[in-house]
This record gives sequence, structure tokens and C-alpha cells, in this order.
Amino acid sequence: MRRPSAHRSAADSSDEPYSIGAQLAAVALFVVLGVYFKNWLLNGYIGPLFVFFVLYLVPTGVRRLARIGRDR
Amino acid sequence: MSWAAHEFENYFIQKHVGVKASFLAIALGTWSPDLFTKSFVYASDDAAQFHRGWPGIGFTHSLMFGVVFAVLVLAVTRSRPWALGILIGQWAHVATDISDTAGVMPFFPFSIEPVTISMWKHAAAEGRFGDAAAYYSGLGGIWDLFWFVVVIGFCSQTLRVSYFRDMIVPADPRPWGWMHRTLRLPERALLLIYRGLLFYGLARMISWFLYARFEVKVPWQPTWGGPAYVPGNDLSDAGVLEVLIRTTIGGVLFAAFLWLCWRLFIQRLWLRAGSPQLAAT
Repeated sequence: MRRPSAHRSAADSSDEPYSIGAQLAAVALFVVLGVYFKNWLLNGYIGPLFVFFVLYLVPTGVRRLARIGRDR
Repeated sequence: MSWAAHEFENYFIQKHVGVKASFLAIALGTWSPDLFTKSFVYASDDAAQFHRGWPGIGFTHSLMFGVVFAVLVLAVTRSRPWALGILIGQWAHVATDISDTAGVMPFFPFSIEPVTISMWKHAAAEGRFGDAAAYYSGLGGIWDLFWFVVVIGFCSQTLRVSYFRDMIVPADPRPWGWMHRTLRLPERALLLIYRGLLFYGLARMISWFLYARFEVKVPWQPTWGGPAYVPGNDLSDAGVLEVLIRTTIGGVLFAAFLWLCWRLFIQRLWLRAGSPQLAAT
């Protein structure tokens, strides 16, 4: 069986990539924004991807922008 | 209907099926009864009847709907983990929705008698926000909390990186591999997509509970059949014995139909389809 390609890269060396604190902070943010935006956020299309946006996509984007800024 | 239990149940199911079923398929299966119909339910004049009854779209909450969906997926994808995941997920949704006052027709079309234990009110007639407030004012919120405790207390291993690596991806390597290769997402990003439903369920549960308590300030009445401030909406006035007889007849006919379909064509599709190991090669 070929190992699925969704696997290890150099960045994935640690077993748990996210601290409990970061995950709890994501939940707290989700709740606060959920109470404010209600069904705009707490629906089955956007909601399941919220933590992906907050813990991966946004930090990655910010890091890339910072790198671009430094390079200039 | 359940507002977060359907999300939490996925991890419980996954723990028990291992690589036999795809997690993404289980999630799609649990969503499938309400995926494209919820807006129409809230816009309907008789929300409970439209959502769970016949005439209406109550057939989406029947075991037959899960079978048809799973067989179609099996025929198109030739993937046993996907077909099994769809079937188990959809059946879990049907089983859970027995708990509200509208109930479900599990053996539709052989029985259109709603089966319910009336644990909490089906409150779609109150609109989307009113429905959420009512759900988190009755035993529905406790039901969600129960499933969250089950996942954290008894299925926490399903949330680990090693579980994702050894069970979730091997059960369904194509979509995870596609996301990794095409979208260039590393494992830590895929892990968040996998855990997303847990976060979503938890945030949904807390947010709507806070909304019910502090924004619309409806009374918290976690009693059987509550909350009392929402009018009743049972779809049938049949007695317990009548429901039992009709459902038993429906169940027997459904089982016979399923056996016949298995012999006629589902077995052939199943044998033609690949196991997770074959799919990965």
C-alpha cells in the first residue's frame, strides 16, 4: 500500500502542532464572533472551517506578508 | 433536529468503524438530510410537517434515503469507505432526530408513521433563531453537551495527530491527498479541517446557548418535551401501540426490500468496489 501523500513534511515533525491554549483561544474567539454574527458564522458551510482559518490560514498569510515586507 | 450532536457523533462513529469508513463521508452523511433543505423548512407554512412528514421532505430523514445515497456513491466512486460512511452517518442523523417532537419516518415509504420519543420540541416554526433558542432551552442542549462529553471522555484518541495519520487518511487517501498536493496544505492544516467539526459543534453549542439566555432571554426549561413556551407540533396523534405496529410492519418490509436489493445489485456493486487498502494502491 502506498502511504497517503497527505503526510509528513519538515514542518510536521512535532506530534501535536497546536497547544491547548491556542485551541481554547480559537474556541473563545469562535464563540464571541458566533454570538455577534450568529448564523452568518454558525452555519454548516463556514463554521467547520473556522478553526482552519484562524489557526492555519491567517497565521500563514500574516507570516508570508511579513516576509514579503522584510524582503522589500 | 440537533444543532451540534450531529457534529460530535462523527468522532464517536469514526472510533468504532476505524478504516472501514471515510470520516468525510460520515460527515457528509450526517449532514445530508438537512444539507439543502433547511432554508425551505424555515420558510414553510407548516415547518414540522414539511421537514419531517409526508407530503413534505420527511423522506430525507428515512433509512431508505441513506441507502439510496450510499448506493449511488458506491456506484459512482466504487469506494466502500465512502458508501459505508454515507450510510452510517445518515442513519445516525435519523436515529438522533427521533428525539424531537416531530420525529422521523425511519421506514419510509413502507411506513409514514412518525416515530418520536418527544424529548424536546421541534421548533422550526419559530424561525432559525427562535429554533436555536428553543433547542438550547430544552433538553436538546443537554443532548449536545452529552455528546461533547462522550467525544472528549471516550473518543479523545480520535482527535490525536497519530489517529488522523494512521486511521483517517488511510481510510480515505484520495481527498486528503488531493488537498495536500493540489492545495499544498501540510498535515497540520489537514488536521484542523478534520477537527473543524468538533470546534464548530462546541462553538455552536455555547454561542446559541448564550444567545438564548442573554439576548432573547427565553426561559431555560430542560424538562422532557420542553421548552414549554414553544407550542406543540406532533405530526401524528396515533397511540403508542398503533405506532409500534405500523413501524414494525414498515421495518419488516424495509428489511425485505433491502435484502432483495442486495441480492439484485448492491452486492455486485460492493464486490466491484475497492477496500481502503485497494483504493490506496
